[in-house]
Amino acid sequence: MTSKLTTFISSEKELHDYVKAGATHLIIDNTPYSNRSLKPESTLQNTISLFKTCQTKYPDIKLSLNCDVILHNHMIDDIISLFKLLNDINCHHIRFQDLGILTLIKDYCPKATPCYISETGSNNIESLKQLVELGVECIQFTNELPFNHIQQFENELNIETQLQVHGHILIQHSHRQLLSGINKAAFTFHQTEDHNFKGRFYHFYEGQHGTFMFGHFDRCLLEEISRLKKCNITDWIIDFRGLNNDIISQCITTYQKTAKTDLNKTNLTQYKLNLEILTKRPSKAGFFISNKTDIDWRDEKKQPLKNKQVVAQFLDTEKPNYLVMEAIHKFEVTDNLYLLTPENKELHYNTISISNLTDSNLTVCQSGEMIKLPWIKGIMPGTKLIQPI
Amino acid sequence: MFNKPELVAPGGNFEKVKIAFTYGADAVYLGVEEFGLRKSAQNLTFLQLHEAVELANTLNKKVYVVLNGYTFQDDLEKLPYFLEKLESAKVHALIISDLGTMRMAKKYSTRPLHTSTQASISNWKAAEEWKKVGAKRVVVARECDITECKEIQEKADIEVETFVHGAMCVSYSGKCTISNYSSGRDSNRGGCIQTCRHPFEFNNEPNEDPVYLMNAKDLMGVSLIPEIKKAGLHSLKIEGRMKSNLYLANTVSIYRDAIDTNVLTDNQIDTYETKLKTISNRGFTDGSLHKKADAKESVSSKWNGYSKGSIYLGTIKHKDDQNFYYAEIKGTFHSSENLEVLMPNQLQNIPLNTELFTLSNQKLERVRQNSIVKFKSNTPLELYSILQKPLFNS
Ligand code: SF4
Repeated sequence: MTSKLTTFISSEKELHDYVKAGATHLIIDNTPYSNRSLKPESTLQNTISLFKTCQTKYPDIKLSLNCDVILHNHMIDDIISLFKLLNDINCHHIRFQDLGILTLIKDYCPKATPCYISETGSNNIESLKQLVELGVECIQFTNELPFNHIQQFENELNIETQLQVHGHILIQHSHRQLLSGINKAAFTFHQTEDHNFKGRFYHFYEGQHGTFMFGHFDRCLLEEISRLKKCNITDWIIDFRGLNNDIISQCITTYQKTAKTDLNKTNLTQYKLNLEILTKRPSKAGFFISNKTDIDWRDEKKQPLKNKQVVAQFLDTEKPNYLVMEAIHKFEVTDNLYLLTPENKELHYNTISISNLTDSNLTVCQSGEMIKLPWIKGIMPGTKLIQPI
Repeated sequence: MFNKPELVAPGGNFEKVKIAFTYGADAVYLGVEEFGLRKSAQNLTFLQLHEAVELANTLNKKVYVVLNGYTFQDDLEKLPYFLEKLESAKVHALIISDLGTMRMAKKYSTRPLHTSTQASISNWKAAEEWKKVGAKRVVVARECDITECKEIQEKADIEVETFVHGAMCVSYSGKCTISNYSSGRDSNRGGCIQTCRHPFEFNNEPNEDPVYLMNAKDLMGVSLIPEIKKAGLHSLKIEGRMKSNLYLANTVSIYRDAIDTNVLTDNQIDTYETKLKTISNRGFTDGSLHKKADAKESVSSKWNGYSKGSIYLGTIKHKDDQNFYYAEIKGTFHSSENLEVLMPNQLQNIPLNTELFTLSNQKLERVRQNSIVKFKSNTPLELYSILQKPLFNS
């Protein structure tokens, strides 16, 4: 299967430039309901007119409409009007991320394929199957998914799929007009540097639907092209909205070349570098290779409390008199109990005696009860009383 | 007279569950060992969960369990076991943000399902879709105003829960992956490192001071309680599973009072707001509850640190038969300082002038963090009363 080279257009000029560069799927982005449209002044008529021009001039090009706004109730009527118009002109795909828009597509533009953009979430097969059951016929995977999961999902789902292969990575979307809030211009990209993390440059863009923050590097799958091809993705998306046409065209042409020919690693790295020179930004494959996010605290082998039950936690200690703890649930006083410090050091008593705060011995400690144990060297705040399971 | 909305409070650990109920919450939301969004909240164990549900049932209150981290493929395997354990605990609802988790929950559990605010539901059509897949309630996006919430509740015919108090993401919840890319921590699975609170320098303005562009102020919606009651919203939520016992007790008691009071006067609202402001905060805003949040008003772009009027010192956890109270101390202080006690069902703090002792009956001058003190009080105190130190120069 040949994947379609896909990018966003907001004007006729972009249409011609990107088709010439090799794009085979265009996403119309000049709608008021594209989340980060760069054409805020656009009207429904402009959108339809661009659509019609594409259809007339390039009938073989696949066309989608971007409608990925986070829907608020007051937008519903206008979106219905747009969808009715689109239904009359045979729009192929409508892209959305808000589930509320799915029913509007089905009701008012049934000829279009509903394409769900998972910006975040839906990173498991059950979610994807649920979306399909709801009527989704095409899914754009998130940028957080590694290729092995993408391959697995692709095999299990019998629908069209999309993946961003190159471009700016959206990492945050706020409903607030943050740039206007500090008297910076909206509708233009601003480069910022994280003051607490020098050398990390983030772009911000404020449009009519809020403020968007982009990662400190761009996504680039050129060096991973052989894995990407094995994923059988229907549409490869290049999302460099905001950059000039020449750079975007260059990017499309590069992917077109790599899609057709099997290039060696050195050539692919060179292509990647060429694009980085044009954009003046670093680029990486990121999570496409693997996603080890939070691996340290998800790794069960590294969990110090596996097969152990915490029965009480530290409250106070006075050398050499006592240790006070709080039982976190009911337990019986047995010889097996021992202490575990926050540094994972085990402290064992020869025999353990536990009393209440007025020094009466206990055989059973109740949940929530404050208990006294003998002082022992090494105790510190955070120490836990452990019962092996 | 309007129906009272349910007050849902954070239950970061079992003690906080008890505090939330004691101070007037109708329900708590909490995490259990795994799958919660706050990985570092002291989640409850399953045994504690059973106890919490039992306690809630006795008090005619509810326990909702969060499974609101985004589920990845590798998490699916463990999910049925976890869901079955929650089923056996008979929790009152599961709060879910991921469609796949929702689908699994329907298969392995009969518990009512709530859609988390992480799903950023901001319209009634989306609420209808979540209802189709099993949601009984939606915790709507913080970007919705009260009118939108009402419309969602009525048109989708679903329970609506909205946040009224606490810290806020500047982002639509669930739409931020800053931490994923900047630190290998998953914002949507409890690993957020709050990069949004950093100052940023604008490269084309080298002489400008860095700005806290995304440093959202905290939400405070107490003045809008009458409007919320009029709109008939089902539930109101307080953020903050990681926050102190003082924050929890103070916030819950104030919102409880505001909900229970038939006609709120401006004076009462001023009193509530003054009390809410005593707890460490980033400045307050009513967010989008009234109208779409204005960035100038809702972001602390020139940040001078947290403001507060009171310091949390400890919680009274026990009383013995000789009328000694025992408090767990979390903040250092001197026994000669002005101390106050916040008690359940009382908005006014009580001054505490008494001698403090260690468990071995040594009189204390300086009380240290992570210790237990015992003392007597002329005024009878209740369990889970909160010790605090007012700051006069806040
Ligand atoms: S970085 Fe900020 S906006 Fe993003 S998830 Fe964390 S708190 Fe929310």
